[in-house]
Order: sequence, then C-alpha cells, then structure tokens
Amino acid sequence: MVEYIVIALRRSLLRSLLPSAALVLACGGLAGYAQEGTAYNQVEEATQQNGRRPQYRGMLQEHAAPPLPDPAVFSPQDRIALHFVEQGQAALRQEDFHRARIFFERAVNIAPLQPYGYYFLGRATFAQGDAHQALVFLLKAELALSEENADWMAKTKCLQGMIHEDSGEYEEARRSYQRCLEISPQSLRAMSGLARLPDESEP
Amino acid sequence: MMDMQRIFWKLTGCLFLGLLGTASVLGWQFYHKLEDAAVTRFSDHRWAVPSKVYARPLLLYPGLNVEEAALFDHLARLDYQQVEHTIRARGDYWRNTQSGEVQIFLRESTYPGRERSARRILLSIEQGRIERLTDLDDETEIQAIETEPEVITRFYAQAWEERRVVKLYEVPSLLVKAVLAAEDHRFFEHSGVDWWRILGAAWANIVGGRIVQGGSTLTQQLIKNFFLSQERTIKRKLTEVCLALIIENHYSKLQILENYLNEIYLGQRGSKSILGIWEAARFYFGKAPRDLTLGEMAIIAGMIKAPNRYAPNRHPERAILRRNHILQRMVTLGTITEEEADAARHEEAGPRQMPPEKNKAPYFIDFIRKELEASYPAGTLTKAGLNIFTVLDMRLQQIAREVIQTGLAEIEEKHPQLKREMPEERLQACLVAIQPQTGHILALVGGRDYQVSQFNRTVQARRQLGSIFKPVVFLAALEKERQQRDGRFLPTSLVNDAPFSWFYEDKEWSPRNYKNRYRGMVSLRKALEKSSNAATARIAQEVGLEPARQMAVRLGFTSPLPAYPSLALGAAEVTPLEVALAYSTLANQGIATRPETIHWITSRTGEIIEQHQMTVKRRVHPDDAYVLTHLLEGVMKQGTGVGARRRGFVRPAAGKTGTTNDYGDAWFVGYTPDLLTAVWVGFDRRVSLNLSGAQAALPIWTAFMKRATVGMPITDFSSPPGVTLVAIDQQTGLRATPHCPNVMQEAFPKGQEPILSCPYHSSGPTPHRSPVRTTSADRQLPIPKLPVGAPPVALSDSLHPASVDTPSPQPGQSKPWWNIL
Repeated sequence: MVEYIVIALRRSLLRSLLPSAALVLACGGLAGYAQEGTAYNQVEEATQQNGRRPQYRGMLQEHAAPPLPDPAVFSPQDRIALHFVEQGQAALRQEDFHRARIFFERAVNIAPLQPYGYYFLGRATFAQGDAHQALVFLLKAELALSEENADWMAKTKCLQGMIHEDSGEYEEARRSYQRCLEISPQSLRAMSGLARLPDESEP
Repeated sequence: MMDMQRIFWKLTGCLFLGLLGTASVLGWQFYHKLEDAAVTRFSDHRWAVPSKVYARPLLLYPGLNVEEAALFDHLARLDYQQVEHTIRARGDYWRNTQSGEVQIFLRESTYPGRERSARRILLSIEQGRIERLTDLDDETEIQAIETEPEVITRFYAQAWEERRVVKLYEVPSLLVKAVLAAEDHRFFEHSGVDWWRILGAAWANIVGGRIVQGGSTLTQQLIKNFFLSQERTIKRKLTEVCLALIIENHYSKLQILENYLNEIYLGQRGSKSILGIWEAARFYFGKAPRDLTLGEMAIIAGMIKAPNRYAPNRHPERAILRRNHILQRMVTLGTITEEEADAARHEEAGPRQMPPEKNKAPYFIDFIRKELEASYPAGTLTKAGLNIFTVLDMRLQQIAREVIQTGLAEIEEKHPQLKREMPEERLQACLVAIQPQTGHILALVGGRDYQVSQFNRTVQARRQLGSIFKPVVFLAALEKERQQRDGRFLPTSLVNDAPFSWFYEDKEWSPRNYKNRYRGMVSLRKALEKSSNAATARIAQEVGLEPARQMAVRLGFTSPLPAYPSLALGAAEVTPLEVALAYSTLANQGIATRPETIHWITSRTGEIIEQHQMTVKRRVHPDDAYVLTHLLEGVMKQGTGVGARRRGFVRPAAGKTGTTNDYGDAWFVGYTPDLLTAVWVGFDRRVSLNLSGAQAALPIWTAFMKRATVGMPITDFSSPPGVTLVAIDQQTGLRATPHCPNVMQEAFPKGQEPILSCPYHSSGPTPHRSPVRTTSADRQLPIPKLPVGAPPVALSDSLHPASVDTPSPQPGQSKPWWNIL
C-alpha cells in the first residue's frame, strides 16, 4: 500500500515537474542560443576586423609545440638553424609574427631540410591570416619530418586540422585530426577538434 | 661760362647718381636673384648617392669549416686588412698561425633585422673548423655572428660618383682640424671670403710669377663644386665671392663644413670619382673616418689640394711629404703637439692592398636592375642611395664564373672545331643555381664574358628544351597513374621503345631515338635514364599533350608551349631560368617557391622600403615529385648523367641531360636535396655543337656542384609518406628475392608496389612475405621467358632487346596492358 502511494506521488510529481523542467530547459536553450549567437557575431566581427577568428588565435597560443630536439645530435648547420628557430619562437610568443617569420625563414635558409622552421612558418603565417600559405609550410614540415618524430608529426597534423577547420574545410580537417590521433591517441586538441566538426550526415 | 660749367657738373652728377641708382637697383635685384637661387639650391641640394647592391653576408658559427666557406677570401673582398698583431681598428683581422685562432674586428652591419654594432670576435679553430666563437668585448661565447654584407656593385648615374653622406658628429675633430689646417684655418673667423688671404695669395702669385697659392675659403670651394664650373675667369670668381657671402649669411659654419666634407673631390677609383671624406677613408685606408690615425687624416686633408697628385695608392712618397707638411702646419696652429705629429710621421703610409674593383655578378645585377627599374621611378636607383640586399652567394657566384670559364675552355680544347676567332662568336654557356626550398637565386652567370656580350642568356635567351622536357611528360604520366591507379605508369611499367608514327591534326610525326638506337620494351625508368625519344613520345601520346603542357605550366614554364607532339621531346623555346625554376619545384617536393633575388631594400637612412618573404604554392603532388626525383636519380647513377659520378660527384643527386635535335643546345639540370643548378651550353647563333648535354653541359655542372656543396651535410632525398621503396629485381621489375643478382630500390605509390616476387632467381625457398594486395600491374604482368641456364642480365638490352617482339595477346585473353602504349 505504502509502495503504491509512493509510486503515485512520484508520478504526480513527475507530471507536474516535467512541463516546468521542459520549460526551464527550453528557456535556458533559447538563452544559450542567443548568447551563442552573440558570441558568433562577435567572432564574425573580429574575423572581419582582424582576418582571423580570435578563438583560433587563442588556440594557437595553447597549441604548444613539443620541445625542440637536442641540438648536440645535429650537424652544425642544423644546430644554428635550431638557434634561429628558438629566436623565432620567442618572437612568436610575443605575437611579433613578422619578426618571427624572419627568424624561421632564416632557419629554413640555413638548414632547408629541417622541419622545425617550416612548422613554425606555418604557425606564423596562419597567425598572420594566410591559411593557404600556412598549409603549404606545414606540408613541407610534414614531408621533412621523419617517422620517428611522432610528437612533431602529431602536432603538425593537428595544426593542419585547425587551419582546415578555420577555413571551413571540414573534411580535410577531419582527416588531419584523425591522422593526428593515429599518431598520438591522447591528443586532446585533435579529439576536441573532431568533436567540434559538423556531422558528415548533416545536410 | 661758370654757369655752363655748373650745369655740366650738375648734369654729370645727376647722370652719375642716376647710373649709381640704376646700378644699385640692378645690383640689388641681381643679389636677390642670386640669393634666392643659391639658398634654394643649397637647401634642396641632395647628393646623387648611388644605390648599393649587397650579396648575402657570411654567417660564422661553431662547426663551420673556414676554408670551405672561403672565409679569408670573403674578408679580402670585404676589404679587411690582415694585421700582424692585435686587431685595433674595424676592418682588421689577425691570424695566429701558432694557435690557429683568428681575431676579427667586424665592422657594424646594417643588414635589416640583423643590425649589430662593430664587434671584436675570436674564432677558435680546430682542424679547420670553428670550435668556439667569443665576443672579445665582453668575453662571452656567442652562437653565431655574421659579417657585414658585401657590396657587389653600385648603380651609378652618368657621372660615376662614390659617396656616402656623413654627419659632422661622425667625423673625428682631428680630421676636421687637419682639413682646416690644410685648406682654410681661418674658416671660423671670416664671413665666406678671406680678404687677407686673397691679398696674401695675390702677392705670392705676383712674386712667384705664376699661380702658386689660392685664396679660396672652404665656402668658396664648396660653392664652386656645388654651382659653378671649373673655369678660371673673373666673372666666375666674382659670382663665387657673392655666393659665398650669401651662403655664409644664411647658413651656420657647421652646416657649411658638413656639406664641404661630403662634397669634396678626393680622387678617382677607375672611372669613378671619390667624393667626401667617408669614401676617401674607406677607399684609401679601408676604414671609417672615426678609425683613421692622425697620419691618415693628414694624408686625406693633404689630398684636397690635388687629389690625384697626392693619392697614397699612386704616389706614396708625395703623399708622405704632403702629410708631413700638414702635420707641421697643425703643430704651428696649435692643433696638435709636436710629439703627436712625430708619432704620426712615423706611421707607415705605403700602398695598401686594394680589393679589385670589379662587379663579379654583372649579369645578376643587370637582371635585378631591370626588375627594380620596373617598380622605381627613373633616377631613383642612381640617386636615392638605396641599399639593395640580395640573396646572391658570392662564393657560389665566384665558383660559377670560374667553372664556366674553365669548362668552355676545356670543350674548345677537346673540340677545336668549336673555337671561334671573333670574341662575340665564341661558344657560350650560362648557369643558374637556386636553393629550391627558398627560391633564392644563389648564383647566376649569363655568359662567358660580360665585357664582350651583355646578353644575359639565363633570362633573355630562348633556347630549345630538348630532352630536358622529358621529365615533365613523365610527371604528367605519374600524376595520371596516381589518379587512375591502373599500373600503366609506374617506374617498372613497360613502354615500347620502338619507332612509331603519331598522327596529329592530319600530320604524321615520327620520333627518332639518338643514333637510331631502340631498346624495345623498356621500363619507364630505363626510358628516362636513357632519354629515349620514342618511348617518351609514346607516353606523351597516352597521357595526352594537354596534360603534359599543363604540367609544364604548373611547374613554372611561362614561355609559350606549342601543343604539338614534338613538345614531348622539348620542341619549345624557353629561358634557362625557366628550366631551373621548373626543376626546383620538383626538387622542393612539388612545392613552387617564388624565385627571389632581392631580400630587402632600405632607404639611405636605413628605413625598410621592401621586404620579400617566402611565398610557396603547391604545384605537384609530393608523391609524384618524389617518384620522378627517384627516376632522375637513376639518370645520374646509370643513365645519361653518369658522367657526374665518374667525375667524382658522389652525393645523392637527380638530374637530366638535354640535347636538341640539331645539337644546337646542350643542357644539364640537376639537384641535390638542397641545391639545384641548370647549365646551358651553345652558340648564340644556332650552330650545331655536335655535342650532347652530357658532353658539354654536364662537366660544367659537375665542377660547380662539387665545389659548391663542399662542407654541406650529405643528405638523401626523403620519401613522402605516400611512397614506398621496394627492393626489386632489375630484370623483372618484381620484388627481389635474396638470390636476385641485380637489385635496386624502386619508388612506388603506396598500394601499387609489386607483390609478386621474382620467379627467376629463387633457387632456394622463396622467403615468406606478408599478405599483399595485387596491383593491376602485377595481375597483368606476363612473365618473360628466359632461356634456361641463361646468366642473369640487366633489364635494358638483353631482356628487351629491340628485336624482341611484343608478345601478342592470345584469343580470349585480355589485351596485355603494355600494348596500350
């Protein structure tokens, strides 16, 4: 009997609460949508102003590159090129992309077969708003990276994914993120990137 | 009578007053006109400073081999002076022969983005390499430092004038005092004209019976240089005096002095005038004015009177006598002490080693001049004093010049029929070297002798491509293979190297092989290595002319390419630079980099006007570019480019020879992973050389690459992820077994590598292989039958001799794929 009363009460409670819960959720959704719309507008506005979506620039900052390899194992040319890559990284951290490019180009000029200069040239040119150039530089980095250099390869693929995503090339972005996850299954950036991408089945 | 006299005097007085008044008015007008003109011209006076063109600086870093980098040649070209003791002035360097250390007092560098002050550095050298770099000023170890960039040339106007404008505060006071002692010690006391001095000079000239002394002040000399001619007339002298007074009235003494020090003529360097004390200090002593010793300052001051008579490089004895005179005068005027003068008199003032004044890259300079003239107003290059920083590598440029000279001389020696009497009819060559990854044009030589012919063959000569075009056809085929994946255009795919006719637009075209040698069924690799015309034409026919032409355009050919079958064999005229750029896209894994000659341009004051950044574009799939590079490596190993190996160039390299039908053009283009060089040899008038590219151009290419790559790390071409290298048996093109005698690594697009193993050399058990997929090629590849017991043979001639007929298809059997070709 008591059990019956409890079940009846629960049902009535649910019946009365469900509409209000649905109402609350709907309101919340609308508010969220409105807020998202505002944020989207802000992003679009910023894109129009700066030529780059601010969230991706922020992501670039978070998208830390793996540490550069120990220069001791390299040839003198490679060592000195790494020195300029480091200087370029410092400029990149200060968001002085133009100066950073000068250092990275110099590194490429000294050791044209080393991948790091190209990787950072990709980052710098993307930060400057040139996604197309950035992707070509990253392709060069990818081609110059050896298979053993998994960390850098994963980072390169992930950055390619971000740039494709930023350019609205979702299929390419998906492939890049997936490749990144194949190399580095723990890559949160690639996971979140994949999750962000619109569903393929969606029209 | 008295009245008449009075009237006469009155009239005379009136007339005189009238004339005086008129003269005053006219004089006043003339003075103001002169004043306006003088002030305007003086204020607006901007020296015509020629723009300077610089080569890339030399980077010094631990590990650098100083001999290979030609450090001391570089320092000599930069006008550094080797001293026997510790370095004291900028531009000095000292080689310690016992310890091997080198001390260099580097001058300041104004290279944009890498500006640095003058530095004293120590290079600790072991076994020819820099072990450690130390900054001697603060005793710290440094990672790298570069020399100031080397001036290649200057863009002169009609009057070739060397000048660098300096501010007065940059000039040491002693130099100013020496100049004043020599020319005008009362400069700060007179008002433009030194009347006492003029009287003194006039007296001296009367006594001497000729002109022995001048009375011009610095201001007058400046006025003369600025505005007037050098004629010696009373009118000019009067105008000079008037102008001097006007200028003194309008400008401060310091402004006039600064102008004087920048304007004064101080001798000749060949056909060029040395103007201003900065250029004089740099030219005669290799120093900036602040680094001059007292004796050197006195020499420069003494030269003003008669620059060519007292030039220390031409007349050192006279220069010393004049120096001593100036020093004595300075002592007399109380500017220096007797002891200081004595010390200065003991300074050596012999002729110093002058760097040869010669533009070592005249064709390159012409090339960039044309580029710049298109974007800058006329006269800017010769007057604005721009600093143009190029990417030219002077070491490579020097090598390129030398190998062209020696290479052509060797050809003429071996083949005397190619010698010509008339200089302008002689055999010519050109060379261009590019760093494919950056597009930097590192060396460019447009001909044999710039003095004889300024025709820049690298960019102006349109020459037939010949076989140098074949890789473009192969690349189009590889791209088609990647798209269709039907196994028709893999490196091991077979093509019939036999005579055939191509009917095109109602015309028949029959390509012929070199010396009419045909090899029958050959692999794509062999067809390219042996530069087979017939096989390439068949491939072009199958791929299609338009895809091949489009591929050429994508690679960077800009000249018109006719869409005729003969294009497959290079029947098109392009410039050697186009060829180099197209191949550099291949060398850079299918990525085209915008060619660069100029990196930065700055104004006279150092403000950046232009900066060229790397611009890249993906043109060809990296997999295709790599497979083609791998094929072209074969050209160097066992094809028409094997001569490079025989001449001792053993680095990993890919390349292609080119010879036109009429033997009018001989080409070789080849590249290591980080340096590409194209060489063309021929006559300007299309006359047959009767030499192939391998005979004429390859030796020059090899000589250049051997020297240019010294000290560079030896690296192989890296394969992209989409390509697999498989060990194959050269005879069958199938996977090699441990028993195959001729095995090589072949590049295949992933998934299209052969699966079947060679059946002929498996005397033992065939090694177990992982499960493989069958490619279309494997499925259809018929196994050629070899005679039982026949010795293993190479693929080319024995397996597929020209006489071997292509197997005909059996009824009911699918058509063998090679018949399609």
